[in-house]
Amino acid sequence: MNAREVAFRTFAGEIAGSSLEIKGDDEAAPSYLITPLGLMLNRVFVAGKLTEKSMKGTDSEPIWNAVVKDVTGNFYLQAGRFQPEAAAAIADIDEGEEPYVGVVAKIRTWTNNEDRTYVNLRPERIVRIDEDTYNAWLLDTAKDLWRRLNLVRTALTFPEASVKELQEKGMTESEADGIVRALDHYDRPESQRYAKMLQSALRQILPGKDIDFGLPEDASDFRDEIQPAPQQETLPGSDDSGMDAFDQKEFILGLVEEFDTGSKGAPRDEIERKASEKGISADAVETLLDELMNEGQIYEPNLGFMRKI
Amino acid sequence: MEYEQLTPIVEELTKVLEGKASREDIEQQVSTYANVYRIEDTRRIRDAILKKYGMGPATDVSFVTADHVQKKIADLLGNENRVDILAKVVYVEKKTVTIKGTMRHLLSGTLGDETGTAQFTVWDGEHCELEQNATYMFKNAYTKKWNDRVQINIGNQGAISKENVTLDVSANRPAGQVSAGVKMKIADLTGSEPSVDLEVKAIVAERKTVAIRGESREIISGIVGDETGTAQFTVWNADGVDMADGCCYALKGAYTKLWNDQVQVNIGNRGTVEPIDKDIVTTSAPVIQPKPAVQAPGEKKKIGELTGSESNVDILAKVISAEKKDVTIKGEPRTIISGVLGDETGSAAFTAWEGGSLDMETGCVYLVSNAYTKLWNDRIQINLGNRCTVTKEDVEISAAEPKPIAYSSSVAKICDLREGIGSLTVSGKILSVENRTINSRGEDKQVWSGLIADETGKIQFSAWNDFGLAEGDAVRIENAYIRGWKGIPQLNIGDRSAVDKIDDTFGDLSAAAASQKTVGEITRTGGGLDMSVTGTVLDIRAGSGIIKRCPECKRSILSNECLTHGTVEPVADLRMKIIIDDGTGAMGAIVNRDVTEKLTGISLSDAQEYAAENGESSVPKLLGERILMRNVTFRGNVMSDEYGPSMIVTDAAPEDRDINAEAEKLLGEVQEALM
Repeated sequence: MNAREVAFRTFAGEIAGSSLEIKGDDEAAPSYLITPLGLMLNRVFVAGKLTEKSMKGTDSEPIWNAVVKDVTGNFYLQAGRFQPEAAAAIADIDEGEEPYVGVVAKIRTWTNNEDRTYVNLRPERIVRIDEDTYNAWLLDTAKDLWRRLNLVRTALTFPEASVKELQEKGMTESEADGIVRALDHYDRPESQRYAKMLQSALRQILPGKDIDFGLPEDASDFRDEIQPAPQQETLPGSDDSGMDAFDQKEFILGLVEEFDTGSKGAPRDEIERKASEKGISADAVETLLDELMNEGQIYEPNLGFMRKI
Repeated sequence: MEYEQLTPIVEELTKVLEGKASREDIEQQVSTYANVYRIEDTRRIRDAILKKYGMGPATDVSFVTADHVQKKIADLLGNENRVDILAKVVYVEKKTVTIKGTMRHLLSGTLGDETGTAQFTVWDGEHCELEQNATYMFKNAYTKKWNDRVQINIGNQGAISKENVTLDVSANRPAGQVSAGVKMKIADLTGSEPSVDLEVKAIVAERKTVAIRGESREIISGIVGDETGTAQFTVWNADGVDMADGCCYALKGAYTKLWNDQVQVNIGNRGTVEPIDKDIVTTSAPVIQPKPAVQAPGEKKKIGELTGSESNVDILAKVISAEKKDVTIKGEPRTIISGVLGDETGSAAFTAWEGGSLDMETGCVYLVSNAYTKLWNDRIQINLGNRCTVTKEDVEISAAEPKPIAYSSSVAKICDLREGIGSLTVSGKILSVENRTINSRGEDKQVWSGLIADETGKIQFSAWNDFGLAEGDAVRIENAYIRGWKGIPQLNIGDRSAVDKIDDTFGDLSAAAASQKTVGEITRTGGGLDMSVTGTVLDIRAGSGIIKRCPECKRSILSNECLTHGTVEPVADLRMKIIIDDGTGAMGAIVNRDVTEKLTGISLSDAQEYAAENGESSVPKLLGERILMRNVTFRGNVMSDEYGPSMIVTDAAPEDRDINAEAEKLLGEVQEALM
């Protein structure tokens, strides 16, 4: 389906420890990071306190790094020249107050020569939120984590089950697919680790209650196996738009609207120029314009000029 | 997707891309498209990969792979995926059928070449013209087997071209006959033989012209007999067949059916009639009852469980009503009993065909063994034939009186309806109805359309006959089917549907809550009317903010040019195009001015003031600050296309949520599981 990728809510702790990636061949094809619990991540919706922001790169091409901390660990954000709104938002937010932020981001991974996997979040949207909204996010994320823990538990009782067989037990196809892949690749997930996350989340939401699941209080709680790529100015592969097919098409359509002054239409070269700023190649622009025309969304009133229908 | 489904594509592509890509490459790419990108449509996968190699999508119906197999009809096996056949159209007719709720137009009939004949169907052939007795090349056909007969299918990959060849069709060597029929005697026939050989005398043979599906056909029917008994017979295609009273014939490849419990011998396309020189002495016994075949004990079922296709079932039930009747069946007087049987799960009509010797009293309970069921007008009918035994039982059953006749078509609630369902039963209240005349394919047709609702949702309906529907009526509709429009299911009530008025137990539906669904559910089942979705607003897209509209047609325009109305004075409006994401899926939504003002607290004039100071493009950012990351419940109509669902929002409100209570609940569950 060409539909927009759903943004899964995950704790930092679940992303940490993820090293399984499936990549698509095509430029616009999505790639997924599979967590040890089988969640197939492409786009995520996370929240936490914004701490530690820094700017690398040049004034004309700034790279903004930021750390967002939830109750289970850290998310490492990196916004480059193709994420101007997100970069501007990070620049604006004062981390001194450690404000809560909500982030919609794409997962970007990179494995180095020594097989170490780095996971970054490339923010599409980042906004300040209040504590209530943060708590709501914690609750939704915890509820989903709990639900998926139970799915994994079910899958573990049928070790050789296929995707279809798991679907018959009530999972959706993508849930079953992710879990089968995860159990194949990773060691058996430690339920204590995830129970800890639930505990931390519930403690934050219900501060008055004494919540203790009887888990060992380990100093190495947040075992951050994933660290931000050290000393990297930019991650390789960050010079693309990070947009999937759906987003790119919406974006091009938006440009047609934007550049159409009402006389001749939106000039193709302007569209290409703006699109390249976002990391979309001229070839891709041509393909997308063709597709939009075939779908009847735009037409070419004058040669080289596009208009929305 | 299963490997088997992908192999044909891999084969095809390997042939077409020979020299450009290796089979391994192709396999990997196909696998990526199918399993990583999750593309279900194999044609899309093929087209996408072809495009990569600079070859356009194969929309041309004559796109065929390099090697093509042409076969004679007699050589067809019934498992060919693509085969070319040069054949004469022996017989063809146009048909319209409803398959899975969709109307399809077909051409069907018989093809023949010098080796034999076979039935064929051209799917979606409304624009196809085939002349009887003309010869065509059918390319890229596929074959299937049905009742041991090979069927030739021309789908949308197939191509038909007229050929200037004369073919001598052999009517007597039909295709697919893998083995000769089983040699049997009439007395041993059970009525379910697909292929049997008999040596018989034609006791009575009459040539008749009958109308079958509007076409005149010549058939021969009568009675055949051998030394063990007699049976009625029909030769369905009398061309070239001659049967005279008193003469003997070898019937080969005949099939038998039961009709009113009597075995009928049929000679169809596959069967042959050949005169033989034997003399067969027939018994003078009348048309014989079939010998009961060795019966497996019937499966015991409750009336509520019956499907209408049981051939052998045991039912313990009370006779709710029963009437002995004298009827004439095929010229013979018979006594039958008909009435209603009931148990605690429901009731159904029954007929006992050997009524003369049976006694079934109202109020008494009987065990009927080895009965068979049929459907008639979608109602289950229990048949007690001569294989059936009826024994009185001394038990009490409280038959479920208030429950009506057991229906076969599945009963559905409106919120569950989606594209592709056919033959469904639904009850609801008519919220609105109007009569229109539309022109369809040159014909003026009347349609009654409007809205119907139950407590789970609303749906648009179209009725193609006058069922006397009026606003406010509570009705039950049987055998309706669903067609979709932009992913929104529409209920169609047609010729085969039945509409009954029922008691209005629905109450005031105008205030009914919209049907609640998750985005994931909507993505799977398609759109709908008046749906309610709760999720987080994760994005606000281009096209949000202050927009201009043409005052005449209300379309959104840029500057002051409207495509239809030329230069106009634009009217300002406020809207948001957002993404609603609830963790199960992401859905686009368009929020109008009223709801935007309600949710963000920013009115059009506020926005215009802000724009005056900061520029129009700053408005979306402002709106975003007020709406992003918030959990909101949206209500509206949802359409669905290949890019996913999208909603036109009619109302919205922040999610009403008690975080503490929900958290406590989760805490309880986790504690219970861990401790």
